[in-house]
Amino acid sequence: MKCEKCGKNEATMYYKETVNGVTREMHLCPECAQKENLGGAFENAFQSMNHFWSDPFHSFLGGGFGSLWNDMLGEAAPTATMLGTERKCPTCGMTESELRRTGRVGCPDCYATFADILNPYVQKIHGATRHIGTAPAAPEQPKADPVADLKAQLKAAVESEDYERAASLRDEIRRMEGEQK
Amino acid sequence: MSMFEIHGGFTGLAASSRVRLARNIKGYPFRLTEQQHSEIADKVFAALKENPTIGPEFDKKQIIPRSTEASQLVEEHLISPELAQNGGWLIVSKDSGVSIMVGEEDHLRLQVIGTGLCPKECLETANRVASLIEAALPFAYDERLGYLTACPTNIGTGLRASIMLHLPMLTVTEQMDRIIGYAGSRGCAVRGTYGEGSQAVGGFYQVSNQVTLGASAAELTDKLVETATTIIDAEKKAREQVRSQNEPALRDRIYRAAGTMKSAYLIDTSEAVQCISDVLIGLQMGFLSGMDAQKLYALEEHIRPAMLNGAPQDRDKKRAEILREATKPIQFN
Repeated sequence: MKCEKCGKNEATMYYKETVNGVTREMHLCPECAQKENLGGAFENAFQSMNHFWSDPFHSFLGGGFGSLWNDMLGEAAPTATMLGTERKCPTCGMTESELRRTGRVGCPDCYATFADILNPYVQKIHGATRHIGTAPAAPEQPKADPVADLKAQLKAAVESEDYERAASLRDEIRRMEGEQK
Repeated sequence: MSMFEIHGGFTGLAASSRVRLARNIKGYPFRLTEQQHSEIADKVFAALKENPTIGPEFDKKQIIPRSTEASQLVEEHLISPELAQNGGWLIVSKDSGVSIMVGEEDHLRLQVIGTGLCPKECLETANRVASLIEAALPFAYDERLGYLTACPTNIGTGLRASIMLHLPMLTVTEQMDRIIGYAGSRGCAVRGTYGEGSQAVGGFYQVSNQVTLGASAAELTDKLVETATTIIDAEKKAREQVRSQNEPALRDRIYRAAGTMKSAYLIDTSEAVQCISDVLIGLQMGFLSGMDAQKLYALEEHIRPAMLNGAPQDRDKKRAEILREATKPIQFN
């Protein structure tokens, strides 16, 4: 497409402005854009795009991307708006509006406090909601074998001639071994 | 012999590999006071020092905001520009292979760097150091979401594994858009050398994993290595293609770059990086010899503005001196 102003050069810039309800659209070459003194407008637009890419999460929260942000994070919890008071993380005091503004949570507990906001967002960015892999080493706990425990009890019951108890223990052991198979 | 030195394959094409784990200490909010930063740095340092094997390897230093030392550490890729700006602490091994930033967005950013293609080995070391710290200072962890971070984009494994690739011929033959698309389809991002939003000078790019949740750190790293290997093959093909199309022009460009490095009296950073890039190609394709490609790549770090210090013209002179000295053994084949 040729520049609408000079008709010679290739139009590489698209300009649109709305002043008092009147919309003006132009396809211009860089030279004419400069002459029209639109350089600043393009430059600003470019800079904001740059900013957008360098820190997308941040920008989603800014005014311009507000609707997109709402799309991604869902609407604010109705209780908070109804009461006119903001939801706050009980541990660190992070407020819902600050979370939406900064894109950063305040403390580990925020993930539970604002789960309704954060879970869909986590799903959106990672395409997953569950962690796989490295976990903190669990404190060593000797794993009790419930069947072995019951067998010991059965032996004790037989020795003490408590056959009623022994029968119920035997049934219990059979049931558990059946489950394990 | 340095304890944490890791060397991988594809020397030169894969300049370096890096693994970063984001971790937060349980019981603290994510945003800390200066006092708390110093407290955590002390505790982490103490936990490492308790280990008789790796303890002696580590030093701890305070990062003074906006200081010259801070800028140098940024150029050495040991701290982030944010930490240099805001201050904090750095716990670093003597060979710079392992570094832990305290006071970034997350309490701890544990980083392991190696040369060549070695993210798996870097991850192993990072895991080892992380579990050593974790044994003394439990991390914020959730059964479902994994390791919890200040930004939800890092949650789960907290892993950012990246490989610095030298892709000058894919750049020249205008294939980078296709490569970036391919990497994206494999869950990997491609950026210019100095991280997000920066230009790729000399055809140096960083390829890294995009998601951090839903796959284990080892799986994410494997996928990254596969992706990088495919890109490396594409770059090799592009080099052969350029050679078969116009070898004299390629040879001319490489010889000129080597000539500039061998004789320039003043040279600015971007020309120097471009020359290093061209000479690297020359060494790998056999047009030049006499110097190790990895050694040449390492030079790139030493010629950055903050590393050299002083007024711009003095820096250009110093930079030229370093390059002249380093490229002396280079021969034209």
